[in-house]
Amino acid sequence: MWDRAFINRLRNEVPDWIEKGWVTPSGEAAIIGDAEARAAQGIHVIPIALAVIGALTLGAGVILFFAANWDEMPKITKLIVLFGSMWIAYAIAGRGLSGSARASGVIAHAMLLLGVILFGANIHLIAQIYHIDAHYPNGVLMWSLGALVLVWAVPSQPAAVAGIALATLWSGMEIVEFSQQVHWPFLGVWALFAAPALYRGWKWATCAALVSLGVWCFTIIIDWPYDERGQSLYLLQVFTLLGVAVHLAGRAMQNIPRLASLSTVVRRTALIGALFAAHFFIYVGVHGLPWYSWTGRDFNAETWARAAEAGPGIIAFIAVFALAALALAVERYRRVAAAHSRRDMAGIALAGLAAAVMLANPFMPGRYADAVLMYVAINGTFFAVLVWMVVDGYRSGERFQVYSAFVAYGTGMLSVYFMDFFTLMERSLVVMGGGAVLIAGVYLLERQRRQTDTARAGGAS
Amino acid sequence: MMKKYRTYMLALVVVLQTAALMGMVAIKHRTLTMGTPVVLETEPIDPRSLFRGDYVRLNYTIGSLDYADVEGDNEFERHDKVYVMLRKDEKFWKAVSIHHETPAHGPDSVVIRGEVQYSGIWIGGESRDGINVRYGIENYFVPEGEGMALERPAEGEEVSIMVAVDEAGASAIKAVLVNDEVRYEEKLF
Repeated sequence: MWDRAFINRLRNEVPDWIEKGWVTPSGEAAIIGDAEARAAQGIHVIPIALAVIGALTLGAGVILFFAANWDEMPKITKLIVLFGSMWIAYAIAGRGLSGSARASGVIAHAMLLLGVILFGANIHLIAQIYHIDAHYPNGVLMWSLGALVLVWAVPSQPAAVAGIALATLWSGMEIVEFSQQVHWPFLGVWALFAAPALYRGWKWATCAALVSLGVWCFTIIIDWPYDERGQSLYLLQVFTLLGVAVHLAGRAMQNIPRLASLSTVVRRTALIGALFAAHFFIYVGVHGLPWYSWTGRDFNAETWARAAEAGPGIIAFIAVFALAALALAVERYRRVAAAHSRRDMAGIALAGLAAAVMLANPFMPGRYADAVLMYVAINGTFFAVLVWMVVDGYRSGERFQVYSAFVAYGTGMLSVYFMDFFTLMERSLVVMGGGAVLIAGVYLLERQRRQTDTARAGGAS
Repeated sequence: MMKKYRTYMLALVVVLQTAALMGMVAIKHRTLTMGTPVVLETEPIDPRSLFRGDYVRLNYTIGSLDYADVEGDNEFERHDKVYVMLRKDEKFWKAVSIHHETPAHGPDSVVIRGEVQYSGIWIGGESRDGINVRYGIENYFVPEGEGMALERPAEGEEVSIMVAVDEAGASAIKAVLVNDEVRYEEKLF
C-alpha cells in the first residue's frame, strides 16, 4: 500500500524534475518501472501482519471451541481433535509453501504460526486430560523447542518471534517462580533462535531476540536476592556495557555484506537497551546512597552498595563487556580513520572514560564519599555520552539516536525532580540547569543546521 | 527441488511435535500401568476451596513432613529434590523417611519423588521443623459441575486418592476413591 503511494508521488513529481532538467524524459519510465518492480518484489508488511492476526484469532477461536465442548468429548475424540487441528494447520502450510504465488507464502507462514500455537495448546490440554502436573515452566520450554525445530527445518520468521517470546517466558518463570538467580540455560535456547535470525536476515526476529535478551537481563535484576541487593549497581553496569557492545557490533555489521541489512535494527534495539539500563544510574539508592535527604546525608555511611562485593564473576563480565565495547569503538575509529573528525575522537575518548569508570567502580572502598564520587562520575559520563550522541546523530543524520538521547536526558531530569535525596534547592538548580542545557543545545544545533543549509544552497547556485 | 525439501522438513517437524505430545501420554501411562498403587490420605486445608473451577486441589498428608516424625535427612532447601519412602499403615500409605538420593527399600515400601516447596511447616497452629513437598499429583481435573458433588462429601463420606508410583519415584493419580470405592479411574482412552 505504501509502495503504491510512493509510486503515485513519483508520477506526480517526475514531470517537474523533467521540466527542471534533472531527469530526461526517457528516465521517467525507467524510474517508475524500477520502483514498480521493487514494490512487486518487496515484503508487504500489512498482508503478513493481517495473516498473522488471522492465525492468532483462528487459533484462539479453535481453543475456545474445544473448551466449550470439552466435557462432552471422550478422551479419544479429544486427542483426535487436538492432533487433527495441528496436522491440518501444518498441511495447509505445506501446501502454501509448495505454491509459487506470494499470497500462498504469506498464508503458509500464518499457518505455521497457527501450528506452533496449536502445539502449545495441545501440550497444556494433554497435560490436563492426563493430569500431568510437572514442573510447569517445562511445558513452556517444550512449546518453545517445538517452535525452534520448525524455525530450523522450515524457516519461518513469525514462528521464530513466537518461539523467542516463549523462551523468554520460560526463563522468566524459572527466575521469578523458582529462584534461579541467573538462568543460564536460557542463553543456549536464545542463541539457537538468534543464529537463524541473523543468518537469514530476519529483522523482526532479530529485534525480538534482542528485546528478549533485554527482558531476561531486567528479570535478573528485579529478582536478584534481597540480601545481595547491593550488587544491582554492578549488574546494571554489566547490562549497560552489554547493550553498548551490541550497539557497536551493530555499527560494525554495516561493513559485513551478509549482516548489513540487520545493522539498523541491531544498533537501535541495543541502544534502547543500553540507555534503559544506564538510566537507572541516576537513582541514588542504586549506589547505596540514602533515598531521602531528611535521613541525613551521612546516614548509613557504610552503604550497602559499597558493602556488597561485586564478586569475581560480575567483575569479569564488566571487564569483558567494557573491553569488547572499547575494542569495537576503536575498530570503528580505525575504519573511519582516513576521515576522522573531532567527533570520532571524542566518541573514542568517552568510550574509554566510560570503560575506566565502570571498571574502577567495583574496586572503590565502601565509604560514603566514594559512593558520591562514583555517582557523579558515572552520571557525568552518561550525560557526556548523551551530548555526544546528540551531536553525532545530528551530524550523521541518525535521527533515532538524537531522539533516544533526548528521551534519556528528559527521563533523567524528571527522575531528579522526584528524587528526595536532593534538597528542593538542589533539585531546582539541577532541573533549571538541565532545561537551560537542553535549550542551548537545540539552539546551537539549529544554528549549525541553518549554516550548513545556507552553505549548501550557496554551493548549488 | 527446494520446495520438495521444505515439505519433507515440515513433515519431519510434524512427526517430531506429534511424537513429543504422544511421549507425554506414554510416560504417564507407563507410570500408571507399571507403578505400584498406593492409597494416600488427603486433608484439605480449607474445604470451601477444595474445588477451584474444574480442578480439584489435593493436599496430601505426605505433603507436609515434620522432621520429628520421619527418619533420614533433615536439611532441605526450597526447590531441592526429595525422595520420600512410603510404607502401608492400616489403610493409607505413610511417609517413613525422607532422603536427598533414592534410598534402598524393601518390597513393603515405595519411594516417591517430590520437590521441596518450602521448609518450615505449620501443624495444628504450631511452627515445626519440616518441609512442604509437591509431588506433581496435587491437581486433578474433573468434568465441569461434577466437582461440586465431591466438594462437600455427605456425612461419613471420605475422599482418598490412589496413586501409582514407578521405580524412578514418578507418580500419577490412578483413581479418586470415595469411601474406598472408585469414583474416577484413569484410563488411556
